[in-house]
Amino acid sequence: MFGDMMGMMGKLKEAQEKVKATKERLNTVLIDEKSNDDKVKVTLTANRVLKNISIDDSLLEDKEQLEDYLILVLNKAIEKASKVHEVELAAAAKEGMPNIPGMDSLFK
Amino acid sequence: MKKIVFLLMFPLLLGAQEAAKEKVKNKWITSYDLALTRATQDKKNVIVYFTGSDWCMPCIALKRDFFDTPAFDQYAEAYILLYIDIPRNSDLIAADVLKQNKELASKLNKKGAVPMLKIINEDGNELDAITGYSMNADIKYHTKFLDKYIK
Repeated sequence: MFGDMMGMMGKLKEAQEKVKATKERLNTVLIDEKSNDDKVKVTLTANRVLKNISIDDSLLEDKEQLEDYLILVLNKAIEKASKVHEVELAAAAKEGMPNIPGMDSLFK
Repeated sequence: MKKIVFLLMFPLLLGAQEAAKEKVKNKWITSYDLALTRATQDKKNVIVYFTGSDWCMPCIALKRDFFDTPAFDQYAEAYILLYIDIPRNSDLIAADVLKQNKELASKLNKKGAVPMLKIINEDGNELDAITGYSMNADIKYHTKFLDKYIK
């Protein structure tokens, strides 16, 4: 029984390390998003860290419009990055784990 | 009638896409030295493509939306293509290629950003780079970028 427990703990630790390594790797995955008219473009990592924002000069004259653009584009980018993040972490967690329903969510 | 024409054409379109995929796949080189030799011989610049082929979702999407489509054909002709993959599953590529790829990444892609297209000339000098992908089949940033460095 204790052997099983130790084995399980070892696997858990292994899975946690894989998740940690994946999180580090996701810092290098870059996801772009832009407005439909290309006036705002942002780049996020798959860990949802903002890396770059480009804004067309024409938007600098209208603060409200610029704010709307940023909200729209950033939300789209965060959604996309979150999806990549979740899929990758779930895959990493699954790799080292026995098949226990619901276990994936522990690593998200 | 239109439906029938579409149904008849569909396998042909799929076939064309598969043929384009196969054609371009054969053009990617995995050796840095060979890429520079060919660049010198053919007087072309090199696209160095940094990817994580089995774990980087934007890289997988970029391959699907651009490299594996006929839209990439003209660039596959105009450039020498160097494929630098650092997969999660190290069994996917030969150990010596993986070693070379890691060395190249530490030299040409210090932050390890993927997907990244870096243009180098036949002497190995870096000209420019583009990173990231939106994953929504909009490849115009990439085509615009590649158009600039065709010799």
